[in-house]
Amino acid sequence: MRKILLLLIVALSAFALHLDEIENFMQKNIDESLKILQNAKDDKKSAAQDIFKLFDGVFDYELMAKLSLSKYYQKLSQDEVAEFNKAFEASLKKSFTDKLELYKDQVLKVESGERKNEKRYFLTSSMMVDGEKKFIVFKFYKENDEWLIYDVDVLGVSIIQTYRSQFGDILENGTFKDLLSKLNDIIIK
Amino acid sequence: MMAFFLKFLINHPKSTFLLTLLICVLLSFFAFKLHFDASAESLLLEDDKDLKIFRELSKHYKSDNFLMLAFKPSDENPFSQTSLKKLENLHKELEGVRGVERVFSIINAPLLLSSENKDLKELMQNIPNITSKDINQSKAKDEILTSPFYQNNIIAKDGKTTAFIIYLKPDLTYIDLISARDSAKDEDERERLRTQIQKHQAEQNALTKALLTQIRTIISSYEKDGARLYLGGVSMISDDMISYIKDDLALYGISLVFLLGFALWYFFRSFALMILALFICFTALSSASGLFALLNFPVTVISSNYAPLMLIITLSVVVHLITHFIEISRLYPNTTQKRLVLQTLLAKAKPSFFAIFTTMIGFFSLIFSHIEPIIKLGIMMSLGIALGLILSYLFLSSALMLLKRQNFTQKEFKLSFLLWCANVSIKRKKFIYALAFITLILAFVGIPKLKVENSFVNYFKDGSAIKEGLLVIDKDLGGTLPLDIIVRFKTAKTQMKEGEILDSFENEFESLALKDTYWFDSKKTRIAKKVHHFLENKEFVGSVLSLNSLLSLGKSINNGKDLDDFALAFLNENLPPNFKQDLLSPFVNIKQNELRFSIRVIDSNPNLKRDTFLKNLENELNELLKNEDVELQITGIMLLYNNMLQSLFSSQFDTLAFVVLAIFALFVLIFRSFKIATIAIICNLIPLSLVFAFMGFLNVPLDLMSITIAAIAIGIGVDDILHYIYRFKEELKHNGVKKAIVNSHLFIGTALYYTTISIVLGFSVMMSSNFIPTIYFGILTTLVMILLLFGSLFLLPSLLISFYTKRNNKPKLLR
Repeated sequence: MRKILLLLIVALSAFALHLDEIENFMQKNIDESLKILQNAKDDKKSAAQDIFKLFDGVFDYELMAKLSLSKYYQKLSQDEVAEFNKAFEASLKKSFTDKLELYKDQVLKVESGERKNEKRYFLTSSMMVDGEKKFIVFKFYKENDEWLIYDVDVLGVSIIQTYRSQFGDILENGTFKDLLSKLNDIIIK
Repeated sequence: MMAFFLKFLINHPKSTFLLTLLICVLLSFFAFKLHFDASAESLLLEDDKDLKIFRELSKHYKSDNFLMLAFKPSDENPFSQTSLKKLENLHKELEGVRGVERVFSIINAPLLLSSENKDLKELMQNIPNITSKDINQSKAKDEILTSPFYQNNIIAKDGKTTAFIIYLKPDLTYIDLISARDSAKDEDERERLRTQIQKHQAEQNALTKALLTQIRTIISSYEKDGARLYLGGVSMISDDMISYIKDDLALYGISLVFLLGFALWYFFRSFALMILALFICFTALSSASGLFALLNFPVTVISSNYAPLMLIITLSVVVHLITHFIEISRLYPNTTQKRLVLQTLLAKAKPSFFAIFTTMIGFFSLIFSHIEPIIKLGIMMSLGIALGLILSYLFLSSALMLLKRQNFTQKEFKLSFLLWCANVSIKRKKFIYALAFITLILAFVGIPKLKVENSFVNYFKDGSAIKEGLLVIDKDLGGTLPLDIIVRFKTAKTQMKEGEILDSFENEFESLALKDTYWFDSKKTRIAKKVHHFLENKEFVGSVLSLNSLLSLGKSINNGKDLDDFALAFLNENLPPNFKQDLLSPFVNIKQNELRFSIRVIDSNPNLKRDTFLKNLENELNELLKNEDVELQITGIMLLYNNMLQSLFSSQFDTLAFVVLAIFALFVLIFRSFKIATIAIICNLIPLSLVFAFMGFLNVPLDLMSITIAAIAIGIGVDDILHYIYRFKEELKHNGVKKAIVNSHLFIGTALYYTTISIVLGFSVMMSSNFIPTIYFGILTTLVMILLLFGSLFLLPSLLISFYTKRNNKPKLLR
């Protein structure tokens, strides 16, 4: 039993990302993802599943869900929170999977990281699109000496910010159910 | 004093005549500097808060001032190769006109769905139009015909007529000058800026005129092969109005010379007297015009009426004087010319002064309208007719002296008719009262039916080029009257009290949300859609353009799905600037946190009740947006015009109350009797109310000109009553009431006829105008003058008989 517990702690701590490891970790996994994509040109769905496995550990989906709801998060019951978290992660992943259809062999390269403050670190990566450099910024926060992603800026637009404005408007004028049903329609372009 | 002064003039006829003439010539010289102002803003309320808002909002959005040119090709197919070629050439030519900022038509309309190239990114970088090489022509036609941006805007719903929207370079100097004037600290500074504004406007008018001439020349070269082109737009309407004013003034001048000349010949049978009377009237007019130019009074659509009004009123003074002169020269054939002239001028001094004074009060009351051009008309007329009276005296005192003594004759009217009038008023009082009572009932029923409407289309005659153009643009291309709805979002302030970690995240996202990138979000697009759909389905609304038109375009590119917040932020961040400029900036102002819905209202719809429409629109929009935490503003020329007319309508009471009270007070002073003053006022008001009742029953709307009728009619109309009562009191000294009535009828009947004929002839000239409000003004004023004459000949004597006895007024009246 103890062994199992120890193994579990080791396994978890293996995912605990430290600041100085972020750049390498991300570049390594990005390269890995691009390889997966190149090998699975016809089946982007299964490729997406493999990519999620690489990154799931560093994405804090729960926090992302919470941030997307902003002040409305406090108003949800525990059951609703659980239901929402699930739906949110699924929607996010579905959007990503759909987006992969448009992938055309571009190369994403980690450029540099910037420590915004004690608890924030933004990692900028870039890719060439039609001869123009476009940026994707992964936003990390620090939790118990571990760094996790809470938002991604795609070509200058924060995904969480655009979720916040949409969810806010839905909940201002509708119910939690409306939000859930609409969540499935929201696909990041 | 008066006699001394007049004697002096009569003793020095040559000097008086020449000196007066010299002053008149000097003043008239400035008349050439009189400037014409028919800009939309010349008719607006200066202190209207909506006008300030309108000017402020004009700065927020580009391309406010535009012309529309409708094009109906001979084959009625704008998409045929020959038509497209012509449209392309026309587009280029219009772009080359000086003063045109840009032109928007189906030639350069961006097409996103008609290209063989499906890649959105590439499309955005090089947006194709119908002339692009890889465009699919039939798809392009479909896209243009169904596009939310283009349909009912640059292409008619039936696809047979297309339009060019010609955006004119904005006149920023004018806006700056206006705001400098509004914020000027002292009156000197304000006056200096006013002069500067006038100068600038004159330059601007000349530029607009040149621009319109050039566009019209281009148009005519395209009309040769059977295509039909129609030009419309606020700038064009005001330019046409300026032309109309100038044409009207020229026409009034020429036709009044003949008409009044003929009337004067008919009355006096003397070439010399006819020329003299005309000379005095026209010299008074040109001198007054010079005076107005010196005082910096611009001639607007409304104040242009000063010309015929001045001629008519001065003429009535001159006619009264000459009639009296002829009468006494016949009565006393052996008296010297000097005595005759002096006697005439002295005898007529009081009634002429009071007649002019009451008319001045009538015009002066217009200052209560709070409308700049109407106030100006009031002041101009008050000054003008005072000048007319002075010049009449100066010229007549000298010119009659210089004329040879001769036996003048005049056309005699049948006295039997006047006798009949006098008898009817004496013997059929009940019948006359019954008529007056019926008139009052009609007034009570008809006057509440009066309405104010300001249809631009109806300002112009059927068949005129301007009306035809406005109708095509109105019916096929989305309406002529621009109106804007502004929805302003309040800056969101969140009050969060949560855990520390969420706080720091919340702060981060709250500040991120304030970035322009995220300005387009679900709430704003939802509101844009809601308001747009509401406006689209509103009766009388033609074209509606807003952010939602762009969203619909985005939806069609996005396989029929609405753009989400990410897509909106993404597009906002990555759209090419020129695309944003053309399609976004007219409808969105991120800095001001506003959305603008640019609508055009179908002006020619006869069921459109503008005030009700605007009120309903505001109420319904407020209801629609009540929980959205936004501010709503309706603005645009349509609203400002409506405010102006509504204000006129409501100030009509103030104006009338002032005229009636002032004239009543004056009557009390002149006649020293409340009873007579009351009778006189009643005899004025009853005929006047009948005209307004007619307007109510016949659905003739009050407009910017007919609204001045009441004040003017009372002012001019009391003259008859004044002259009559004066005579009546004179007669009372020697006769009983009934005899006094008969004698008064016989004595002043001729003068009343002369003046009424002159006035009716004068106002009838207005019926020849191309401007419908002027025509209505002419007809209605003529009607009111005739009714007022009836009031003087029938109602006044009846009331005098019933309520006035010789006993209660004997010696203290007139001497």
